[in-house]
Amino acid sequence: MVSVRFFDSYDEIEAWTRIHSEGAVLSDKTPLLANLSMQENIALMDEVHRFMPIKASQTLARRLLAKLNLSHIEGKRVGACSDFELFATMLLRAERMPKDEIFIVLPLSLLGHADAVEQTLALIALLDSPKAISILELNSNRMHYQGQTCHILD
Amino acid sequence: MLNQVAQLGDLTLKRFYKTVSVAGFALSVFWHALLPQSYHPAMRMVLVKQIYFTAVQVLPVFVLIAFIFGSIIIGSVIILASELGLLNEIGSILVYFIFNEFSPFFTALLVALRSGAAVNTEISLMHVNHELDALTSYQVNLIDYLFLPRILSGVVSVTGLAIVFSFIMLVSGYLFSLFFMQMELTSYLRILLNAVSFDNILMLLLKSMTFGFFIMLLPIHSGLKTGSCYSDIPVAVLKGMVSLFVALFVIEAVSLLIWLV
Repeated sequence: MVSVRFFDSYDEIEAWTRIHSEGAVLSDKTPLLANLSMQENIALMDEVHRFMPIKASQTLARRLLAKLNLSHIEGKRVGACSDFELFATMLLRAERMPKDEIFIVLPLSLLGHADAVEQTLALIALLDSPKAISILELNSNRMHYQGQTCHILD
Repeated sequence: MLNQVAQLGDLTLKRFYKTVSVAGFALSVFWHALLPQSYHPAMRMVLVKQIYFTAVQVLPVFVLIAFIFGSIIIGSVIILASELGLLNEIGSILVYFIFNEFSPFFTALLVALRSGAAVNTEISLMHVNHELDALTSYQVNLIDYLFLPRILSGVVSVTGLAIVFSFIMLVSGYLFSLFFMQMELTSYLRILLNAVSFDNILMLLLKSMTFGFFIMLLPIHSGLKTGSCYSDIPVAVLKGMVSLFVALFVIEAVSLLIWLV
């Protein structure tokens, strides 16, 4: 289950992620590369960290996008994608990072609308990752997580 | 007066620190170029793309410019040699001008104008957009993935294009020799073969490789020093291009000194 950790400020979140280097961070400070397509952004992790050949890594990236029902964006670049599509690609990139955890920082501000929490949780459920996924959120957004299927850490 | 001396000292120190910073960066790139793990599939893909953008995509325009410019230069050299009664030395003159001076230098200028500016803007933009931070966060080494392929592509592209430039200038030289001196192709080739030495070829290759290295290294270094706003990008590009052009002239002067010694 996804766990949610609340902080008083963005600086606190940044400090926390710096200490917890065991996780791949997904935030507005870790955008996708604008000169690569969505599948290339995801495949980059396997090519760099696992020396996987281009063809194999991109096939895997396309399979992951298909798993999230986003096959239509595999060849698109950052400017041609919605916030949700970018977020999903960032999640897949974090998934392919050889780390045990994924930290999603402020999904509400990344997705920019009130349904962001539901969308994020649905996406994570669809991904069905073996990794531990934590959402790092501000205390002021706590009410958006009430009643959601996530584990709130205080 | 004291204030002006202080400003001059400040400027000298800034230049010195920048030179040290560039030298350190160049050494890091050299070191990474020697490591087999730097050549991961993503890096190799970027390298191929960069060589395509720098050397292949530009080829039609480059050949046209080289032909027009090469013809003008070689024509002028032949006419001048003819007026000064140096036609017996035409082979040595052509070989020196083409291999040692014009081909590497003008290729370097053309590639610097086209690709140097583009790379500087690209790295600056990536810096401002936090894309470099993202790569660092995802443990993608910036030198391996971004800088090394661009620098290697600069070395390969400038060297390759300088050889093409030399060939085009030699063809122009033949056409002028044919029209001005009614020289046959076999005579022209014999004169060139008698004049050309291993040192000329070595100078062409070494100079082109050095130019290619700095044409990419300096814009990348400048891009990394960009501030955090979009308005800082043109400033970084301007500074990078000025440094690059100063470096090109310094390399040109140093190579001339080496040749004379």
